Formats: sequence, structure tokens, C-alpha cells
Amino acid sequence: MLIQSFISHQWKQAVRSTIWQKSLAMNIFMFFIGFILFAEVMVLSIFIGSEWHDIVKDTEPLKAFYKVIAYYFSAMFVMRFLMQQLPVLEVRPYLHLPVKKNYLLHFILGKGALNFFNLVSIIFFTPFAFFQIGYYYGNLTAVVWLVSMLFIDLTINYLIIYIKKQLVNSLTIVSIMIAVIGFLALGDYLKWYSYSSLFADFIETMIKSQVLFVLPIVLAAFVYWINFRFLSRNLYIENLSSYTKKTDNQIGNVGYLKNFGVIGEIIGVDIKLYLRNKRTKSMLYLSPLFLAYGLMFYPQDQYERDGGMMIFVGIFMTGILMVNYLQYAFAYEGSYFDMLLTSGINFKEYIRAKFITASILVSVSFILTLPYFLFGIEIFFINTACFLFNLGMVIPIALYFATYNKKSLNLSQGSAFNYQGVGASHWLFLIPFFIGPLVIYLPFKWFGNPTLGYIVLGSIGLIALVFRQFFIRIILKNITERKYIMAAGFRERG
Amino acid sequence: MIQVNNLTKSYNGVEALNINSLKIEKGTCFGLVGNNGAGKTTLFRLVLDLIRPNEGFIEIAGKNVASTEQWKQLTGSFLDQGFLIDFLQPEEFFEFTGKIKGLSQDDIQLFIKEMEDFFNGEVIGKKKLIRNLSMGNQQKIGIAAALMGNPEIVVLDEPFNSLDPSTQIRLKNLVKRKKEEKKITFLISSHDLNHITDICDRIVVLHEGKIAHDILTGEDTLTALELYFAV
Repeated sequence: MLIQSFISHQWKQAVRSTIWQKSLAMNIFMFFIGFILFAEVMVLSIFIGSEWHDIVKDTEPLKAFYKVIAYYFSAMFVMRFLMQQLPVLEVRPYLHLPVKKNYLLHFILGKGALNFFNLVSIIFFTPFAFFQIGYYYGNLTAVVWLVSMLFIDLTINYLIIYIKKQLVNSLTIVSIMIAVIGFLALGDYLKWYSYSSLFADFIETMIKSQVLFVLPIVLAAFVYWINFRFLSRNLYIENLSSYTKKTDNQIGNVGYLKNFGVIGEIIGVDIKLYLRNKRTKSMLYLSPLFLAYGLMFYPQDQYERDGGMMIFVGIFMTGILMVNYLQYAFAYEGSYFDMLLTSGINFKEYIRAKFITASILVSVSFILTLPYFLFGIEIFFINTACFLFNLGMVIPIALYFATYNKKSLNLSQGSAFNYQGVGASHWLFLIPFFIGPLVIYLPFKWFGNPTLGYIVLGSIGLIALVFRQFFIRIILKNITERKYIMAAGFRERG
Repeated sequence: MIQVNNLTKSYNGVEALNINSLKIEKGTCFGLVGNNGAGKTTLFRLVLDLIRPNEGFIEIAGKNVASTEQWKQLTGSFLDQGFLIDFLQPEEFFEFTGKIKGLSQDDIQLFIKEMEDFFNGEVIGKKKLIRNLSMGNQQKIGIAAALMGNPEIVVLDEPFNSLDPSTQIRLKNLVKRKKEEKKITFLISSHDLNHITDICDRIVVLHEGKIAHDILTGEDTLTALELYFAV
């Protein structure tokens, strides 16, 4: 059977990849985190589902829960956007075989329905459906209600897949979508209408006039169809390497860099790397969202008092671009690492170039977050401390650990199918970078002098900055020792 | 120029290469032949310090390649696609390589002009990224880049692969000319016995990681090689 061999190929691909075998610890950790989340959601949803009427003490307990669902879906939307992996199938080996194209497409899209988030939704909705909806309206309605909730979830699922794919294809569509979503959120915020009440009303009407249950199914089918159409138009090999547009070939030429000798050349290649590859480009498109992170925290009073959260936000906003860049500083160049090793490039200059680019990224992020001082001048001081810490301390550490990232990333094969997107593991890798500053700051806060904590944080950054040459030497030594291992890892493509 | 001393390399306990002693004189065109898995690429990677030998060492101009860097300025190499930056245009790639090799902007333009005949008008001025060029054209770019910056040693792994017949002949002429004019030492591996006997002064046959034959090219070399590889 065809579908069985597809599934077995996928399984083999996953298990036989060297990354899986070599970073077993990471996989176990991911599994562990997933399992805990899973168990928590399960216990919580059964508890809430069975005891809801006691918890809310509302005259309309169901309607209160529908409002919760409204926020659940919007939180899911954001979570999925950041963490959900795209379904991937390397189609090229199958395209020339007598396999129906539609079959391949349905397989890919079907695979997209199997993910962690959908499982969470099933666990989230099932207890409530049977304990509450079943109690009021009978079990048949409960089942139908559950199915329609899951179809709304599927709609979001496929919408995210579509948006993430368009992110590298058509910026216009994504911008329009983000504008629409932003406008709706703003409307809710300014109380033009209430998103949660509207949603609750909708679910209530749905239960009363049964016909509307069809709507989620129609919606999900529609989004699935949009995805299907998009994929089928991009199935041909010529689209797989769709970089024939001449404008794309010209971008990233910065003549100014020519004045800086070899370092300028290395930075120039880095810039072109970023602007001419889909994977890196989508990372750049996401960066404005990272900088807007502060908007989620600063306007709220309880966070303003909690310095730890402010440090976290500051480190995140001024550092995320740089960390993303440095984390893969060598891995992105893995496809020509042999060339770098033999070309006679001075590796000290090479590392210095990475430091310079990273410093520019941190500085630009810092400048862009300056307007946040409008929420309070202490935000400016905290962000300055975070900026200094990122500049002096995090850059060398991130670059040091980048030498352990020897997985070759295929940048050029950025098709709709072969998309090594930004997944959960990518974010997990970043956690240590954000815990460090908190470890430094929190003792000062607990002993009642948070301001000193900020000063110490910034000072550590400044002192580390003075020792930059020392860090460069350490990283150089590490690369010299690890170059054979790195090169061997990068040679294993795919 | 190049000296191999008691070199062994094994992967997962299986010996891939074992060369007691091998000396390559300056200005020789050294040909390496052998069936798949004989150890040709392994030897070249060891010469270029891309993998670490289990025992022994290789010297270029009297210096161990694993512990020094100077040899990199004397050596140009093209083994596989891993030597190309595929999101650059050919011109940008030559500029990058040239700058690293210490060439000026004019030198680089001069070099590109010199290679025009070899490229046959299919590489320069196309405004295409390297990854969008055919395998043959990518191969041309890699070979040309290996010749940049007046190297004394040029290492090419199966350079005739995916080249069209005319370019194969152009490559042979190019190698012969560079050897005459600049006294470049070439290390070339190939499966094409005709080409390799045509351009190389000395041919080494590798078999299961060991040197099976070491021949100075003469009239009957081709026949001898064909006989050796006959099934």
C-alpha cells in the first residue's frame, strides 16, 4: 500500500537522521516537557469540565465557558504561529513515479492535522462536552458540539499552515492577515465590540439551531482547500527552486562594506545569506513581532512592579535577533564550511566578523525599543542594562555554543514542502539565555535592592565587553579543536 | 612539495586509507585513479586538513598541514559542492574568494577575463545565483576558483564530472598551460583514464586504501591502466 510506504519512509527519515541520534538528550527533554504539559491539561480539563458550574457561580455557566473558549482559540492561534511545525514531505523522489499528485498533497496535508496542539484541543474540549453540554442538552448534542469545536480548531490549524507558508512566499497576504487580526484585536481592546461575547453568542445559537453546526466543517474544508490549491500550484520542480527572480539575485549588495577588507567581505556574505534564503528571510519577517513583545507587558500594572519580568522582556527584545543569528552562525554556513576551512580565511577575522554583525543586531534592536520609555523611564534603564548584558556577555556565549550546532541546514531548498521552520525545539534552545540574567538579578531584588540588580547586570555586560579579545581567542581555540567534527556534521546533508 | 608520512585513516574501525610514504614533486601533475571507495577523496581531504588522520601526517612545503595555516595560501582546491557558496552570483563568489586570497579588485577582473574562454560564456553576466546554474557550470566555477590567487598546488576531485565534452578538452588545455607557465602542482582524481593519462606525469592507482601502482606516464600507460581495471 502506498500510504504505508509513505508513513514508513517518514518514520525512517525521522529516526535515521543523525540529529535524532546525536541529540537524544534534547529529544528526551522535549518529550518530557510535552508529557508534563499533556498531563496537566488533561487533569485540569477534567476538573474544570466536571466542576465548572461550581467554579464560576455564574447564572449562565455555559456562556461563561464559551468566553473562555474564545480566548483559548486566540491563545492557540499565537502559540501555533510560534511553535507549530509545518508538515513536510520531500516530494522530489516521488514526483517522477506513477503516484497521483493529489494523493501526495492529501498525504502532506493530512500529516498536518496530526500535531501536539490538536491533541491538546481534544483533551481540552472532551470533558466539558460530556460533563456540561451533555448534562444540559443530551449526549448527542455533546458529541456534535465537540466535533464542531474540533473543526474550528482544525480551521485554525490549517490557517496557520497557510500563513506560515505564505510568510516566505507572499508578504502581502500575510500583512493583510496580520492587519485584519490586529484591527479585530484593537476593536476588542477599545470595546467597540466584545470578541468573547460574540463568540459565546455564536456557540449558543449554534446549539439552539443545530444547522449551524455545519459551519465549522465548511470553514475547515475551505481552509484545507486553500492549502491544497496553494500546494498543487507549487508542486513542480521549477517552483521548488523558485529563485530565478532577478531582483532577488541583486539584493544584499552593500558596496560600503568593500572598504573593510576581508571582514567586510565576510559580513557581506552573511547579509546576502540572510536576504537570499527563505528560511532566514522568514526569520527576519518575524522580528518586528519580537520587538512588539513589550506591548504585551508594559501597559499592565502588575508586571511593571515585577522587575524579573521586565528583565526577561528586555533581554528578549534586545537579544532575540542576535541570538537567532548566532545560534546558527556556523550551521547556516555549513553547506560551504569545507571551503571556509581550506580557503585560507583567517578564522580570527571570521569570528570578529560574527561579533560585529551580532553587535549591530543587538544595537539596532535596542534603538528600536527606545520608544518604550514612554511607559516609564525605568523601562529605559532596564533595557539599557539588558542591552549591555546582551552585547558583552550573551554574544560570546551564544557564539561559543554555536560551534556545537553541527546540523547542516538546507537553506536553499526553501519550497513549500521542504521547510525547516521555526519549531518548539528552536525556542527551547533559547531558554538558558534568558534564565542567566534573572539569576543575576533576582538575589538583589529579594534583598530589597532591585536597582542595584540592574546596575550589576549592565556592569557585567560592560566588563565582558572589555574582555572581548579574550572571548574571541577562546572561541577560536574551540573552533580549531572542533573543526573536523563540525565539518563532518555539515557534510551529512539532508 | 607534498609529503605523506605513514598515513592511516579509518572510519568506524574500517581502514579507508593506508599510505606508507608518498612524495609529490613541485610542478608535477599527479593523477589519482581507483574504483569507488578506494580512498581518493579521503586522501584529498587529508591533504586539505578537512579530516583528521588516525596516524601519520601530511606536509606541504615542509609544514604539517594539521598544525599550520600557511599552506592554505599556496593551495587552491575544489572537491565538491561544499566548496561553493550557492546563494552568491558567480562574480560575487570570485570576488569573495579573490579577496581572501589577497587579490585586488583589478586582479579579480583580470582573472575572470582570463577564464572567459573556459566558462564559454555560460557563467559570467548571467545574473543568476550559483545554485540556479547547472551542475556543469557549477563545476566550472569551482575549478576556476581553485585557480585563483596564483596557487602553487591545486587539488581537484573528479573535475571532469558533469562537464560537457568541449569543456573537458578546455580543462585539459588549461591544466597543461598552467603547469607549463606557473609550475603549478596538480592533484587530480578521475575515473576517465584517457583524460588522466593525457594530462598527468605520474599516476597512482589506489586499491582499498593502499597504493596498488605508481606509474610515471609513458606510451603504454593507458593500456596498462585499462588492463588493470578490466573486469
